[in-house]
Amino acid sequence: MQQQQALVSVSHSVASRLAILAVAFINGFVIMSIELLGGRVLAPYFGSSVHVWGSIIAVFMLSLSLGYLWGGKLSLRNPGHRTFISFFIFAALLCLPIIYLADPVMRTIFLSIEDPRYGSLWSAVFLYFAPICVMGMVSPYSVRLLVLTQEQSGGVAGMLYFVSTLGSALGTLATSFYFVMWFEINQVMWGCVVALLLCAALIAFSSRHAIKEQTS
Amino acid sequence: MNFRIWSPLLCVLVLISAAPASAQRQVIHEERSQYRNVLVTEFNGQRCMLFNIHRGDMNQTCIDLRNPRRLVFNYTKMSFAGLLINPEPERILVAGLGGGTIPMVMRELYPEAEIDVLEVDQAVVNVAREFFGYREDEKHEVHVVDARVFIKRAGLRGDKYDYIVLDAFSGEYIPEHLLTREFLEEVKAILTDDGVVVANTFASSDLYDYESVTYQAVFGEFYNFKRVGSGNRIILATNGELPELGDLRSRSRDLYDVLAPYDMNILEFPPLLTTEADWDESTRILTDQYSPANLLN
Repeated sequence: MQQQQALVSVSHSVASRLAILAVAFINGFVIMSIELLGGRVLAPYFGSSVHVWGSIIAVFMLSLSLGYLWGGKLSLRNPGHRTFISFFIFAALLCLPIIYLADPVMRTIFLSIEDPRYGSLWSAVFLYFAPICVMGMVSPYSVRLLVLTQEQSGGVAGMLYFVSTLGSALGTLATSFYFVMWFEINQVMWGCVVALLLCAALIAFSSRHAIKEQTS
Repeated sequence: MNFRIWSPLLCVLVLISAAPASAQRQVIHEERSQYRNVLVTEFNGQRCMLFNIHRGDMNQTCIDLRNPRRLVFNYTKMSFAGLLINPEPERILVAGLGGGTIPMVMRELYPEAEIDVLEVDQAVVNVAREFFGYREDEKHEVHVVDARVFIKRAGLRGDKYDYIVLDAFSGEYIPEHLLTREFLEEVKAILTDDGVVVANTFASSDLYDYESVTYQAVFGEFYNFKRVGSGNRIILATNGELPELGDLRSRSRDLYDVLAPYDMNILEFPPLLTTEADWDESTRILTDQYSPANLLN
Protein backbone atom coordinates (compact mmCIF):
# COMPACT_ATOMS: atom_id res chain seq x y z
CA MET A 1 0.00 0.00 0.00
CA GLN A 2 2.68 2.41 1.10
CA GLN A 3 4.89 1.17 -1.70
CA GLN A 4 2.19 1.96 -4.24
CA GLN A 5 1.60 5.46 -2.94
CA ALA A 6 5.29 6.13 -3.23
CA LEU A 7 5.10 4.97 -6.84
CA VAL A 8 2.71 7.70 -7.88
CA SER A 9 3.76 10.47 -5.58
CA VAL A 10 7.48 10.74 -6.19
CA SER A 11 9.63 10.58 -9.28
CA HIS A 12 12.36 7.98 -9.15
CA SER A 13 13.52 7.86 -12.72
CA VAL A 14 16.19 10.21 -13.97
CA ALA A 15 14.04 11.27 -16.93
CA SER A 16 11.09 12.33 -14.83
CA ARG A 17 13.31 14.10 -12.30
CA LEU A 18 14.97 16.04 -15.10
CA ALA A 19 11.57 16.81 -16.56
CA ILE A 20 10.46 18.37 -13.27
CA LEU A 21 13.59 20.53 -13.13
CA ALA A 22 13.03 21.55 -16.75
CA VAL A 23 9.45 22.65 -16.16
CA ALA A 24 10.49 24.53 -13.02
CA PHE A 25 12.97 26.41 -15.18
CA ILE A 26 10.40 27.18 -17.88
CA ASN A 27 7.86 28.19 -15.24
CA GLY A 28 10.32 30.68 -13.75
CA PHE A 29 11.15 32.00 -17.20
CA VAL A 30 7.50 32.50 -18.13
CA ILE A 31 6.62 34.26 -14.86
CA MET A 32 9.21 36.97 -15.35
CA SER A 33 8.53 37.29 -19.05
CA ILE A 34 4.86 37.98 -18.27
CA GLU A 35 5.81 40.38 -15.47
CA LEU A 36 8.06 42.38 -17.74
CA LEU A 37 5.39 42.57 -20.42
CA GLY A 38 2.90 43.64 -17.73
CA GLY A 39 4.44 47.10 -17.64
CA ARG A 40 3.76 47.47 -21.34
CA VAL A 41 0.26 46.07 -21.09
CA LEU A 42 -0.70 48.59 -18.39
CA ALA A 43 1.14 51.65 -19.79
CA PRO A 44 -1.51 52.72 -22.36
CA TYR A 45 -4.06 53.19 -19.56
CA PHE A 46 -2.02 53.98 -16.48
CA GLY A 47 1.28 55.29 -17.80
CA SER A 48 4.70 54.01 -16.91
CA SER A 49 5.08 55.93 -13.69
CA VAL A 50 6.89 54.30 -10.82
CA HIS A 51 3.61 53.28 -9.15
CA VAL A 52 2.56 51.19 -12.16
CA TRP A 53 5.66 49.07 -11.71
CA GLY A 54 4.98 49.06 -7.99
CA SER A 55 1.51 47.63 -8.63
CA ILE A 56 2.76 44.95 -10.98
CA ILE A 57 5.59 43.78 -8.76
CA ALA A 58 3.38 43.80 -5.66
CA VAL A 59 0.65 41.76 -7.37
CA PHE A 60 3.16 39.25 -8.73
CA MET A 61 4.74 38.83 -5.31
CA LEU A 62 1.35 38.44 -3.64
CA SER A 63 0.21 35.92 -6.27
CA LEU A 64 3.38 33.89 -5.91
CA SER A 65 3.27 33.92 -2.12
CA LEU A 66 -0.29 32.59 -2.05
CA GLY A 67 0.57 30.16 -4.84
CA TYR A 68 3.43 28.76 -2.76
CA LEU A 69 1.14 28.41 0.24
CA TRP A 70 -1.69 26.67 -1.62
CA GLY A 71 0.64 24.59 -3.80
CA GLY A 72 2.31 23.33 -0.63
CA LYS A 73 -1.08 22.55 0.93
CA LEU A 74 -2.21 20.68 -2.18
CA SER A 75 0.93 18.56 -2.12
CA LEU A 76 -0.18 17.13 1.23
CA ARG A 77 -3.21 15.35 -0.25
CA ASN A 78 -2.74 12.64 -2.87
CA PRO A 79 0.22 14.22 -4.57
CA GLY A 80 0.79 13.01 -8.11
CA HIS A 81 1.71 13.95 -11.60
CA ARG A 82 -1.87 14.47 -12.69
CA THR A 83 -2.35 17.47 -10.37
CA PHE A 84 1.07 18.75 -11.38
CA ILE A 85 0.13 18.58 -15.07
CA SER A 86 -3.14 20.37 -14.41
CA PHE A 87 -1.24 23.36 -12.91
CA PHE A 88 0.36 24.04 -16.28
CA ILE A 89 -2.85 23.59 -18.23
CA PHE A 90 -4.71 25.95 -15.88
CA ALA A 91 -1.88 28.47 -15.96
CA ALA A 92 -1.89 28.42 -19.76
CA LEU A 93 -5.66 28.91 -19.91
CA LEU A 94 -5.54 31.70 -17.32
CA CYS A 95 -3.02 33.55 -19.51
CA LEU A 96 -5.58 33.85 -22.31
CA PRO A 97 -7.53 36.70 -20.62
CA ILE A 98 -4.28 38.73 -20.62
CA ILE A 99 -4.32 38.41 -24.40
CA TYR A 100 -8.03 38.80 -25.06
CA LEU A 101 -9.53 40.73 -22.15
CA ALA A 102 -6.79 43.17 -21.13
CA ASP A 103 -8.32 46.07 -23.07
CA PRO A 104 -11.92 45.78 -21.85
CA VAL A 105 -10.77 45.07 -18.28
CA MET A 106 -8.44 48.07 -18.19
CA ARG A 107 -10.97 50.32 -19.92
CA THR A 108 -13.59 49.49 -17.30
CA ILE A 109 -11.17 50.11 -14.46
CA PHE A 110 -9.84 53.30 -16.10
CA LEU A 111 -13.38 54.66 -16.29
CA SER A 112 -14.29 53.82 -12.70
CA ILE A 113 -11.05 54.60 -10.85
CA GLU A 114 -9.55 58.07 -11.32
CA ASP A 115 -6.29 57.46 -9.46
CA PRO A 116 -3.82 55.63 -11.75
CA ARG A 117 -2.13 54.05 -8.73
CA TYR A 118 -5.24 52.09 -7.78
CA GLY A 119 -6.28 51.68 -11.41
CA SER A 120 -3.03 49.92 -12.18
CA LEU A 121 -3.20 47.91 -8.96
CA TRP A 122 -6.69 46.56 -9.68
CA SER A 123 -5.87 45.89 -13.32
CA ALA A 124 -2.82 43.91 -12.26
CA VAL A 125 -4.95 41.95 -9.77
CA PHE A 126 -7.61 41.08 -12.34
CA LEU A 127 -5.22 40.18 -15.13
CA TYR A 128 -2.33 38.52 -13.32
CA PHE A 129 -3.38 37.18 -9.94
CA ALA A 130 -4.91 33.89 -11.11
CA PRO A 131 -2.29 32.72 -13.63
CA ILE A 132 0.71 33.75 -11.52
CA CYS A 133 -0.81 32.19 -8.40
CA VAL A 134 -1.13 28.86 -10.24
CA MET A 135 2.43 29.18 -11.52
CA GLY A 136 3.54 29.77 -7.93
CA MET A 137 1.98 26.42 -6.93
CA VAL A 138 4.46 24.64 -9.17
CA SER A 139 7.46 25.24 -6.89
CA PRO A 140 6.40 23.56 -3.63
CA TYR A 141 4.68 20.80 -5.58
CA SER A 142 7.90 20.09 -7.46
CA VAL A 143 9.71 19.73 -4.14
CA ARG A 144 7.13 17.16 -3.05
CA LEU A 145 7.56 15.17 -6.25
CA LEU A 146 11.35 15.18 -6.09
CA VAL A 147 12.08 14.58 -2.41
CA LEU A 148 12.79 10.91 -1.71
CA THR A 149 14.22 11.16 1.77
CA GLN A 150 14.27 13.73 4.50
CA GLU A 151 18.05 14.17 4.29
CA GLN A 152 17.76 15.20 0.65
CA SER A 153 14.98 17.70 1.10
CA GLY A 154 17.18 20.76 1.55
CA GLY A 155 19.28 19.87 -1.45
CA VAL A 156 16.23 19.27 -3.61
CA ALA A 157 14.62 22.54 -2.57
CA GLY A 158 17.89 24.37 -3.24
CA MET A 159 18.17 22.84 -6.68
CA LEU A 160 14.59 23.82 -7.51
CA TYR A 161 15.06 27.40 -6.33
CA PHE A 162 18.22 27.46 -8.40
CA VAL A 163 16.66 26.35 -11.69
CA SER A 164 13.43 28.31 -11.33
CA THR A 165 15.16 31.54 -10.32
CA LEU A 166 17.73 31.06 -13.06
CA GLY A 167 14.78 30.69 -15.44
CA SER A 168 13.34 33.92 -14.06
CA ALA A 169 16.61 35.75 -14.61
CA LEU A 170 16.86 34.55 -18.20
CA GLY A 171 13.17 35.25 -18.83
CA THR A 172 13.66 38.83 -17.68
CA LEU A 173 16.73 39.34 -19.84
CA ALA A 174 15.43 37.61 -22.94
CA THR A 175 12.15 39.53 -22.84
CA SER A 176 13.58 42.96 -22.15
CA PHE A 177 16.61 42.65 -24.43
CA TYR A 178 15.17 40.75 -27.37
CA PHE A 179 11.55 39.60 -27.34
CA VAL A 180 10.09 43.12 -27.22
CA MET A 181 12.18 44.00 -30.25
CA TRP A 182 11.35 40.87 -32.23
CA PHE A 183 7.71 40.30 -31.34
CA GLU A 184 4.49 42.00 -30.37
CA ILE A 185 3.40 41.69 -26.74
CA ASN A 186 0.65 39.19 -27.57
CA GLN A 187 2.98 37.06 -29.65
CA VAL A 188 5.26 36.70 -26.62
CA MET A 189 2.20 35.93 -24.49
CA TRP A 190 1.24 33.16 -26.90
CA GLY A 191 4.80 31.88 -26.61
CA CYS A 192 4.27 31.68 -22.84
CA VAL A 193 0.99 29.80 -23.28
CA VAL A 194 2.65 27.30 -25.60
CA ALA A 195 5.62 26.91 -23.23
CA LEU A 196 3.25 26.13 -20.34
CA LEU A 197 1.39 23.54 -22.42
CA LEU A 198 4.72 22.01 -23.38
CA CYS A 199 5.50 21.72 -19.67
CA ALA A 200 2.27 19.78 -19.18
CA ALA A 201 3.10 17.52 -22.11
CA LEU A 202 6.64 16.95 -20.87
CA ILE A 203 5.48 15.88 -17.41
CA ALA A 204 2.72 13.70 -18.87
CA PHE A 205 5.16 11.97 -21.17
CA SER A 206 7.95 11.49 -18.64
CA SER A 207 5.67 10.24 -15.85
CA ARG A 208 3.90 7.75 -18.11
CA HIS A 209 7.25 6.53 -19.24
CA ALA A 210 8.44 6.20 -15.65
CA ILE A 211 5.36 4.28 -14.53
CA LYS A 212 5.70 1.88 -17.41
CA GLU A 213 9.33 1.35 -16.52
CA GLN A 214 8.47 0.55 -12.92
CA THR A 215 5.52 -1.72 -13.55
CA SER A 216 7.24 -3.82 -16.19
CA MET B 1 32.79 48.61 8.49
CA ASN B 2 33.61 46.34 5.63
CA PHE B 3 35.56 48.35 3.09
CA ARG B 4 34.61 45.99 0.23
CA ILE B 5 31.01 47.04 0.65
CA TRP B 6 31.69 50.71 1.14
CA SER B 7 34.36 51.28 -1.48
CA PRO B 8 31.98 51.55 -4.47
CA LEU B 9 29.94 54.02 -2.50
CA LEU B 10 33.04 55.98 -1.65
CA CYS B 11 34.03 56.03 -5.30
CA VAL B 12 30.64 57.44 -6.19
CA LEU B 13 30.93 60.08 -3.50
CA VAL B 14 34.40 61.05 -4.67
CA LEU B 15 33.16 61.28 -8.25
CA ILE B 16 30.16 63.39 -7.30
CA SER B 17 32.31 65.81 -5.38
CA ALA B 18 35.02 65.86 -8.07
CA ALA B 19 32.78 66.29 -11.12
CA PRO B 20 31.54 69.82 -10.46
CA ALA B 21 35.01 71.01 -9.57
CA SER B 22 36.53 69.70 -12.79
CA ALA B 23 33.74 71.13 -14.93
CA GLN B 24 33.61 74.41 -12.97
CA ARG B 25 29.99 73.59 -12.56
CA GLN B 26 28.37 74.28 -9.26
CA VAL B 27 25.53 72.14 -7.99
CA ILE B 28 23.29 74.54 -6.13
CA HIS B 29 20.44 72.16 -5.37
CA GLU B 30 19.53 68.49 -5.47
CA GLU B 31 15.86 67.52 -5.34
CA ARG B 32 14.94 63.98 -4.39
CA SER B 33 12.65 62.33 -6.90
CA GLN B 34 10.62 59.15 -7.31
CA TYR B 35 12.40 58.75 -10.64
CA ARG B 36 15.83 60.33 -10.91
CA ASN B 37 17.08 63.01 -8.62
CA VAL B 38 16.95 66.44 -10.17
CA LEU B 39 20.07 68.61 -9.97
CA VAL B 40 20.29 72.34 -10.42
CA THR B 41 23.67 73.62 -11.54
CA GLU B 42 25.15 77.01 -12.30
CA PHE B 43 27.89 77.49 -14.81
CA ASN B 44 28.98 80.38 -16.96
CA GLY B 45 25.97 82.53 -16.15
CA GLN B 46 23.53 79.73 -16.95
CA ARG B 47 21.37 77.81 -14.55
CA CYS B 48 20.48 74.30 -15.69
CA MET B 49 18.30 71.41 -14.60
CA LEU B 50 19.92 68.00 -14.99
CA PHE B 51 18.93 64.43 -14.35
CA ASN B 52 22.35 62.87 -14.57
CA ILE B 53 25.53 64.76 -13.90
CA HIS B 54 27.87 61.94 -14.89
CA ARG B 55 26.73 61.92 -18.48
CA GLY B 56 27.62 65.58 -18.78
CA ASP B 57 25.27 66.41 -21.60
CA MET B 58 22.03 65.70 -19.84
CA ASN B 59 20.87 69.28 -19.43
CA GLN B 60 17.12 69.18 -19.39
CA THR B 61 16.68 72.88 -19.51
CA CYS B 62 18.77 75.99 -18.97
CA ILE B 63 18.13 79.66 -18.40
CA ASP B 64 20.44 82.58 -18.97
CA LEU B 65 20.74 84.28 -15.58
CA ARG B 66 21.72 87.61 -17.12
CA ASN B 67 18.85 87.59 -19.60
CA PRO B 68 16.18 85.13 -18.46
CA ARG B 69 14.03 85.73 -21.53
CA ARG B 70 16.71 84.50 -23.90
CA LEU B 71 16.00 80.88 -24.84
CA VAL B 72 19.15 78.83 -24.47
CA PHE B 73 18.30 75.67 -26.37
CA ASN B 74 17.78 75.34 -30.07
CA TYR B 75 15.00 72.82 -29.73
CA THR B 76 13.07 75.07 -27.36
CA LYS B 77 13.19 77.81 -29.99
CA MET B 78 12.30 75.33 -32.70
CA SER B 79 9.20 74.25 -30.82
CA PHE B 80 7.71 77.72 -31.38
CA ALA B 81 7.53 76.88 -35.08
CA GLY B 82 4.06 75.60 -34.20
CA LEU B 83 2.98 79.26 -34.09
CA LEU B 84 3.51 79.38 -37.85
CA ILE B 85 0.61 76.94 -38.21
CA ASN B 86 -1.56 78.26 -35.40
CA PRO B 87 -0.54 81.85 -34.57
CA GLU B 88 -3.49 82.39 -32.19
CA PRO B 89 -3.62 79.43 -29.76
CA GLU B 90 -6.38 79.56 -27.17
CA ARG B 91 -6.04 76.19 -25.41
CA ILE B 92 -2.49 74.98 -25.03
CA LEU B 93 -1.32 71.58 -23.76
CA VAL B 94 2.36 71.00 -22.99
CA ALA B 95 3.48 67.46 -22.13
CA GLY B 96 6.80 67.67 -20.26
CA LEU B 97 7.54 70.65 -18.02
CA GLY B 98 11.33 70.88 -17.77
CA GLY B 99 12.08 74.33 -16.39
CA GLY B 100 8.72 75.59 -17.61
CA THR B 101 10.24 77.70 -20.40
CA ILE B 102 7.71 76.82 -23.10
CA PRO B 103 4.55 77.44 -21.01
CA MET B 104 5.97 80.64 -19.50
CA VAL B 105 6.82 82.09 -22.91
CA MET B 106 3.38 81.04 -24.16
CA ARG B 107 1.80 82.84 -21.22
CA GLU B 108 3.72 86.03 -22.03
CA LEU B 109 2.77 85.82 -25.70
CA TYR B 110 -0.87 84.86 -25.10
CA PRO B 111 -2.11 86.23 -21.76
CA GLU B 112 -5.64 84.97 -22.44
CA ALA B 113 -4.77 81.38 -23.40
CA GLU B 114 -5.66 78.43 -21.20
CA ILE B 115 -2.55 76.37 -20.52
CA ASP B 116 -2.36 72.82 -19.17
CA VAL B 117 1.07 71.35 -18.47
CA LEU B 118 1.68 67.64 -17.83
CA GLU B 119 4.67 66.50 -15.81
CA VAL B 120 5.05 63.03 -14.35
CA ASP B 121 7.64 64.01 -11.73
CA GLN B 122 6.68 66.25 -8.81
CA ALA B 123 10.37 66.96 -8.19
CA VAL B 124 10.66 68.64 -11.60
CA VAL B 125 7.67 70.84 -10.76
CA ASN B 126 9.23 71.83 -7.42
CA VAL B 127 12.57 72.69 -9.02
CA ALA B 128 10.94 74.63 -11.87
CA ARG B 129 9.03 76.74 -9.35
CA GLU B 130 11.92 77.33 -7.03
CA PHE B 131 14.84 77.82 -9.40
CA PHE B 132 13.43 78.62 -12.83
CA GLY B 133 10.76 81.15 -11.99
CA TYR B 134 7.95 78.90 -13.15
CA ARG B 135 4.59 80.36 -12.15
CA GLU B 136 1.08 79.09 -12.70
CA ASP B 137 -2.01 81.30 -12.71
CA GLU B 138 -5.77 80.80 -12.75
CA LYS B 139 -5.71 79.78 -16.42
CA HIS B 140 -2.41 77.93 -16.28
CA GLU B 141 -2.13 74.69 -14.36
CA VAL B 142 0.52 71.98 -14.08
CA HIS B 143 -0.81 68.45 -13.58
CA VAL B 144 1.47 65.84 -12.01
CA VAL B 145 0.36 62.92 -14.15
CA ASP B 146 1.52 60.63 -16.90
CA ALA B 147 0.77 62.34 -20.23
CA ARG B 148 -0.90 59.26 -21.64
CA VAL B 149 -3.35 59.07 -18.74
CA PHE B 150 -4.24 62.78 -18.91
CA ILE B 151 -4.71 62.79 -22.68
CA LYS B 152 -6.85 59.65 -22.62
CA ARG B 153 -9.11 61.25 -20.00
CA ALA B 154 -9.21 64.55 -21.89
CA GLY B 155 -10.42 62.60 -24.91
CA LEU B 156 -13.17 60.92 -22.89
CA ARG B 157 -14.30 64.30 -21.55
CA GLY B 158 -14.32 65.67 -25.10
CA ASP B 159 -11.76 68.38 -24.28
CA LYS B 160 -9.94 69.95 -27.22
CA TYR B 161 -6.66 71.80 -27.52
CA ASP B 162 -5.46 73.87 -30.46
CA TYR B 163 -1.75 73.80 -29.62
CA ILE B 164 -0.20 70.60 -28.26
CA VAL B 165 3.50 70.34 -27.45
CA LEU B 166 4.89 66.83 -26.91
CA ASP B 167 8.21 67.26 -25.15
CA ALA B 168 8.33 64.40 -22.67
CA PHE B 169 11.13 62.59 -24.41
CA SER B 170 14.38 64.14 -23.25
CA GLY B 171 16.59 62.26 -20.87
CA GLU B 172 17.94 58.77 -20.95
CA TYR B 173 14.80 56.73 -20.68
CA ILE B 174 12.19 57.16 -23.38
CA PRO B 175 8.58 56.66 -22.32
CA GLU B 176 7.71 54.08 -24.93
CA HIS B 177 3.96 54.39 -24.47
CA LEU B 178 4.20 58.00 -25.69
CA LEU B 179 5.55 57.04 -29.11
CA THR B 180 2.92 54.62 -30.30
CA ARG B 181 0.25 54.94 -32.97
CA GLU B 182 -2.47 54.48 -30.35
CA PHE B 183 -1.09 57.38 -28.27
CA LEU B 184 -0.86 59.66 -31.29
CA GLU B 185 -4.45 58.77 -32.19
CA GLU B 186 -5.47 59.85 -28.69
CA VAL B 187 -3.55 63.10 -29.19
CA LYS B 188 -5.21 63.64 -32.55
CA ALA B 189 -8.62 63.11 -30.96
CA ILE B 190 -8.12 66.11 -28.64
CA LEU B 191 -6.67 68.35 -31.36
CA THR B 192 -8.99 70.97 -32.88
CA ASP B 193 -9.40 71.16 -36.64
CA ASP B 194 -7.16 74.23 -36.88
CA GLY B 195 -4.77 73.07 -34.14
CA VAL B 196 -1.18 71.93 -34.34
CA VAL B 197 0.87 69.21 -32.66
CA VAL B 198 4.48 70.15 -32.03
CA ALA B 199 6.55 67.07 -31.19
CA ASN B 200 10.16 67.19 -30.10
CA THR B 201 11.71 63.95 -31.33
CA PHE B 202 15.06 62.33 -31.95
CA ALA B 203 16.95 63.44 -35.05
CA SER B 204 19.59 60.75 -34.93
CA SER B 205 19.41 57.06 -34.05
CA ASP B 206 17.17 54.39 -35.54
CA LEU B 207 14.22 55.94 -33.76
CA TYR B 208 14.06 58.69 -36.39
CA ASP B 209 12.66 56.28 -38.97
CA TYR B 210 10.27 54.61 -36.53
CA GLU B 211 8.85 57.88 -35.24
CA SER B 212 8.54 59.30 -38.73
CA VAL B 213 6.45 56.44 -40.10
CA THR B 214 4.30 56.36 -36.96
CA TYR B 215 3.47 60.10 -37.13
CA GLN B 216 2.83 59.69 -40.84
CA ALA B 217 0.45 56.80 -40.23
CA VAL B 218 -1.62 58.89 -37.82
CA PHE B 219 -1.41 62.46 -39.17
CA GLY B 220 -0.53 61.91 -42.82
CA GLU B 221 1.87 64.45 -44.26
CA PHE B 222 3.62 66.66 -41.68
CA TYR B 223 6.26 69.37 -41.61
CA ASN B 224 9.68 68.10 -40.62
CA PHE B 225 11.99 70.64 -39.00
CA LYS B 226 15.68 70.01 -38.41
CA ARG B 227 18.58 72.35 -37.81
CA VAL B 228 22.25 71.66 -38.23
CA GLY B 229 23.92 71.13 -34.88
CA SER B 230 20.76 70.14 -33.05
CA GLY B 231 20.12 66.52 -32.13
CA ASN B 232 16.43 67.25 -32.21
CA ARG B 233 13.83 67.14 -34.90
CA ILE B 234 10.52 68.93 -34.55
CA ILE B 235 7.43 67.43 -36.13
CA LEU B 236 4.57 69.82 -36.92
CA ALA B 237 1.37 67.91 -37.57
CA THR B 238 -2.24 68.94 -38.00
CA ASN B 239 -5.67 67.37 -38.11
CA GLY B 240 -6.27 68.24 -41.75
CA GLU B 241 -4.43 69.85 -44.62
CA LEU B 242 -1.09 71.46 -43.86
CA PRO B 243 -0.94 75.20 -44.61
CA GLU B 244 1.15 76.26 -47.61
CA LEU B 245 4.76 77.29 -47.05
CA GLY B 246 3.86 80.73 -48.42
CA ASP B 247 1.38 81.22 -45.56
CA LEU B 248 4.03 80.21 -43.08
CA ARG B 249 6.44 82.77 -44.51
CA SER B 250 3.98 85.62 -44.13
CA ARG B 251 3.14 84.50 -40.59
CA SER B 252 6.81 84.38 -39.68
CA ARG B 253 7.05 88.07 -40.64
CA ASP B 254 4.07 88.86 -38.38
CA LEU B 255 5.62 86.93 -35.49
CA TYR B 256 9.19 88.15 -35.85
CA ASP B 257 8.90 91.18 -33.54
CA VAL B 258 7.20 89.39 -30.64
CA LEU B 259 9.64 86.48 -30.70
CA ALA B 260 12.86 88.45 -31.14
CA PRO B 261 13.23 89.23 -27.40
CA TYR B 262 13.54 85.48 -26.80
CA ASP B 263 16.55 85.33 -29.11
CA MET B 264 14.47 83.63 -31.77
CA ASN B 265 14.65 84.52 -35.43
CA ILE B 266 11.51 82.88 -36.72
CA LEU B 267 12.21 84.14 -40.26
CA GLU B 268 14.80 81.35 -40.46
CA PHE B 269 12.22 78.67 -39.78
CA PRO B 270 9.99 78.38 -42.88
CA PRO B 271 12.80 77.59 -45.36
CA LEU B 272 13.85 74.70 -43.10
CA LEU B 273 10.41 73.09 -43.00
CA THR B 274 9.83 70.26 -45.41
CA THR B 275 7.25 67.59 -46.08
CA GLU B 276 9.78 65.46 -47.89
CA ALA B 277 10.29 62.00 -46.39
CA ASP B 278 14.01 61.48 -45.72
CA TRP B 279 13.42 58.29 -43.75
CA ASP B 280 12.97 54.65 -44.62
CA GLU B 281 9.23 54.40 -45.28
CA SER B 282 9.21 50.63 -44.98
CA THR B 283 10.04 50.91 -41.25
CA ARG B 284 7.66 49.22 -38.85
CA ILE B 285 5.10 51.46 -37.16
CA LEU B 286 5.36 51.69 -33.34
CA THR B 287 2.23 50.41 -31.59
CA ASP B 288 1.21 49.60 -28.03
CA GLN B 289 2.00 45.99 -28.95
CA TYR B 290 5.37 46.86 -30.44
CA SER B 291 7.37 49.76 -29.06
CA PRO B 292 10.99 48.85 -28.27
CA ALA B 293 12.04 52.51 -28.36
CA ASN B 294 14.70 52.22 -25.69
CA LEU B 295 16.35 49.40 -27.61
CA LEU B 296 16.34 51.39 -30.83
CA ASN B 297 17.81 54.61 -29.50
